[in-house]
Amino acid sequence: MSFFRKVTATAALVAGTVLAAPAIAQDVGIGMNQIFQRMDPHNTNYNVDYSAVNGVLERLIGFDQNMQLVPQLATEWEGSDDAKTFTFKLREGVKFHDGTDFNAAAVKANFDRLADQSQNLAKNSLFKVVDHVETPDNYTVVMHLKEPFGAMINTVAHPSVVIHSPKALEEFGRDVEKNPVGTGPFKFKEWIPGERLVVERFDGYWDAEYPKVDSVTFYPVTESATRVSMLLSDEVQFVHVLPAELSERVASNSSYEVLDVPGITVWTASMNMLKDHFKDVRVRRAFNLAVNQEAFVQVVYSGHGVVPDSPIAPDTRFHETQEPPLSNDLEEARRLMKEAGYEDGFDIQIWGTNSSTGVRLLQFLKQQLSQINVNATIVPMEGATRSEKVFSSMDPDTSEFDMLIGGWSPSTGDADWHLRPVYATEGWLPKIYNMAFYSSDVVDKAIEDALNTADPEKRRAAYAIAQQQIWEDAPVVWLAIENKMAGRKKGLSGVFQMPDGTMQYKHATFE
Amino acid sequence: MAHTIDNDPTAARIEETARSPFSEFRRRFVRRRAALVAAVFLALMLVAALLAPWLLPYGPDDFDYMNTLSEPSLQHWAGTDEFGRDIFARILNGAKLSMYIGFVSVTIGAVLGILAGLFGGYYGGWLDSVIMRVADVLFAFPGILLAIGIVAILGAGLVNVIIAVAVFSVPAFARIVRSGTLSLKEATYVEATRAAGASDFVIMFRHILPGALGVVIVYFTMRIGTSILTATSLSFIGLGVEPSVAEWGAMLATGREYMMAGEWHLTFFPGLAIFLTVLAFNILGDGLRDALDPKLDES
Amino acid sequence: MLNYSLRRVAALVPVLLLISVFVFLFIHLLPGDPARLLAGETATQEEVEAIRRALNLDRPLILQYFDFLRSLLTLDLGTSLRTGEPVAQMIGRAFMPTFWLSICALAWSVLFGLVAGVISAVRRGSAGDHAGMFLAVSGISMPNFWLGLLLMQFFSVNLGWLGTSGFDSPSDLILPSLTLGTGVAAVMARFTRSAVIDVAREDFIRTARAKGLRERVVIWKHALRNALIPVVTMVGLQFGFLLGGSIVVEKVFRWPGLGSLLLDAINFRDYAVVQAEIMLFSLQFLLINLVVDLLYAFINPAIRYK
Repeated sequence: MSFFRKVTATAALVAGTVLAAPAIAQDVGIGMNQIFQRMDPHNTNYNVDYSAVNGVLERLIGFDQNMQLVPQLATEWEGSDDAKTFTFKLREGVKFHDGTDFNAAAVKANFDRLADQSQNLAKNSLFKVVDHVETPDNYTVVMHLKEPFGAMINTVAHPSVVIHSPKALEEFGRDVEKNPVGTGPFKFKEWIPGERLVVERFDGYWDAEYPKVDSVTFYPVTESATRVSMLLSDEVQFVHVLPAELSERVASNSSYEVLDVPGITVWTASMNMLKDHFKDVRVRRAFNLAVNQEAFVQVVYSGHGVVPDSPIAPDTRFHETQEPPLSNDLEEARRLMKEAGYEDGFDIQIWGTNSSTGVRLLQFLKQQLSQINVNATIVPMEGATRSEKVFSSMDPDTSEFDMLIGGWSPSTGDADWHLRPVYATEGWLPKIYNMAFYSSDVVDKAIEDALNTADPEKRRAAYAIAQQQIWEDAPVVWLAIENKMAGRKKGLSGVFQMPDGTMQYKHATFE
Repeated sequence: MAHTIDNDPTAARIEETARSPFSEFRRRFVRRRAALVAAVFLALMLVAALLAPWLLPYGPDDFDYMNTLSEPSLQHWAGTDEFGRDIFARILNGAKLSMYIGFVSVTIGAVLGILAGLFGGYYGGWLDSVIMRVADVLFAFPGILLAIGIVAILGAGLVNVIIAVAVFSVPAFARIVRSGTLSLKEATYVEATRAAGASDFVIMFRHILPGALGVVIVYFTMRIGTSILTATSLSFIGLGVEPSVAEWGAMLATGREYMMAGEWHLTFFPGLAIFLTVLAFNILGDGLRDALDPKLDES
Repeated sequence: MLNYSLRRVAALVPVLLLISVFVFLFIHLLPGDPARLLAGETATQEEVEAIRRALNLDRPLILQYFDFLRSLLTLDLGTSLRTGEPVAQMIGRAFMPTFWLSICALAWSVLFGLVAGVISAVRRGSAGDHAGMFLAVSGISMPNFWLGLLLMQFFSVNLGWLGTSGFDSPSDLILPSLTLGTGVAAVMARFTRSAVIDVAREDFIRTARAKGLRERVVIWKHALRNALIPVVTMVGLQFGFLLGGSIVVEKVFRWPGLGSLLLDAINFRDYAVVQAEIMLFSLQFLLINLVVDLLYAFINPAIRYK
């Protein structure tokens, strides 16, 4: 790293004397917690990928730090009352890195690619409801849906719905994942898998104020202590993600700061409602009462998290605070268990992940449940094993687990993409992520009602019903909403993490 | 038989040892003071581990969220972990499990490896080729990957961890015993025994094996340490025994998250326990080696 | 000698074939679905099926095995399921970093191990012997990730002398090779000590002593030379291990080598990469063992006629 820094610095010095450019090339180093998969957001589900190309490929609509919609390549948008037609006005005077003009045709090419289910792209399913896309003029795009889908605007803001250069799509096809060409302030430069990914400044960016640095280099560093060491020795200036237990170490050094924002990922332990003991709502409530969520946040996230007050996080659109709040009442929990005929408890298996946080979480849950005589065997699983056991060939009737740990983050920022996958009957494993096999007519209907309109107030009312019913039925033990944390060198601004777990660096600036 | 080899000084020494093997062994062993200390240490630790429930005010699983990550103090000699559990209690209780994993897995691996190496080296030919090639295949396979595979297929848990670690030990023992056997079977005293008409079995187990045993014992004691550490690595990647169980490897692996945050005691004490145990096994191994070695000059 | 060598080389072929079956079964028996992993935990089933179709992962197993065998024979090795990059290129890129790391770790640890082992053997029972063996055991009983992180904290973060991780300059070799070599040095020291003690009791050493040769000559020239056979075995074994790339050390030091590559590949069930890489390890291992065996035969001619 230091070696490379020297080389770039020397090169810049040489260039500087000739071209009178800035004397030192400014590079921002960023340590990421996972390895990169593909640089085509249309074809990946990983936050690290969305994060790394965020400065290269832009969306029509983005999110601000509170998950509110903000204009990016679109300046205005609106949906019809029947939630079947959506119109976007595009920004003018924007060019792709390869010189192509950004216009309605470019957007149509990308939307068509996402809507074409035969492409077999990871995110094709987001656009399954899209019937066809029209371009009435050069800077207007109209999207027609097959059926009402009230959450479409937020779906277009999903980090995967980026606009590739149509020329690149034509030239590279699927290989745009190695050669992303967009409209962002940075051009894709090189990617050595497992080592680093580099983007460099694009001088024709539509917002003339940016970019303010010459390049950004991403390093995948899976070992968290190494990642933090790189930050503390100034080899990188930003680390994403910063594990909560290491935040003190970063905060105690006056040259660095800890960024700590509330997230939208709700962690739960789903109770398999196909198993007899979890069919009884008293048992499910007793489980929630037995778990001390305040202590959970302290022990598992070193205090960097909040206790859920609804099935969805406060920053998710249409969130409503529920009553009563989660509480820790062992007496009441024991009473409910006794009433349900389980005074002496029972044996269960809890499946979870084998990350250090995941293991801590499982142990905590086991300890808490032992207080109501539930004897839990905890099974941390390596990612691949877990996904196979949980998803691939699972028949709901023969599912082995009693409880399953999971965290869901709605990347569209909309209640629909949290309630529908996790709590609707259509989301039952292995189809999406309903791991409790929870099924409620009230909830299913409310979710459908909300999708049939684009009117925010009607949608809000429908989601309020769904949230309340889920809260009452308690199909999961709600655990915590983890904060999204990052470490940053003081003097660097414009680089930060988002509540959905991605990060942004377009406006990176050194003071 | 005895008559013909009477002239051979080596054979005479073997005879002598055979007369009172145990007292001879004891006499030689006790002379190594360090080895004695190590044996006593290991025995004490085992006793303390067995008596831990009656010796300590805390159980290994007693959590206390008001008192997490506290530094060592008079109440908690080794501090508490992220759940407020007493680390000293966990280390004592973990001694049983860690030593059990280390000892059992290496013993299985050693017995299989010794048999394979002895037969292969002694008989040579196709038997040797087959045994060594199978050992090569096992060896060529990265150990941790083999362990991941075994645990992933069989499921996590104590027995499977032991199997994984044992399988990994077999080829090393096989190779070492084989190379010892190859050189020993040409040795004068072995040739002499063979000339005297001793059966292959007797030659292998009475004459060659004791000669090769020195290196094996040294390796055995080292492997116990390695095994405890392999179990650590398995815990490190989340495939060890159930993580809430007090096992040294698991304690070290989960404590590492707090190491950089300055909570040194979470890794230091389990690390120290592993270190002292491995050290004791090694010193003990050296002592055993010297005491068992029939050819050793008392100097 | 030539005849013996040729026979040994020919014997490699069935072993490699056996390994290829073993590797293939191993990776396909492991639970885990590459399509699901590529899609990500929160993917819908439709997304997963889309990826499975795109990767042709629905072909019968036996056909997939023949594909694998053909890729080995043509040395083409296929492409990564995860990144679509040619596997040969990925392995080629990762090989040299691991090679340099192995060489460095082996060099200092063998040097240290031999010297410490011989000194301990000669001054058996002395304070120096105990201290040396204490150090050696420390080396064995310290988990790699622990030592690596400690070294990084001290030399990179606190003192700022060396880079934390990655491989951009030769000085980046220092910390990972120290971490990796500690265990090897310990094994070498103990092993050498044991071997020298064994040899020192042999008749020819007594004879050499009786002839009045100086003790130093006896030890370094006669004893060590003959103690080398088991020691060479051990060096070979250790080198084989090292070349496999240490997953833990490479992970801690963000080393762009074979260990990191394998870890990523196994995590994502990237079949082509795992298969090719294990075949490479096996080949390396077999070749190293072969060289060791040939060295035996060279040192002790009796072996090659058996």
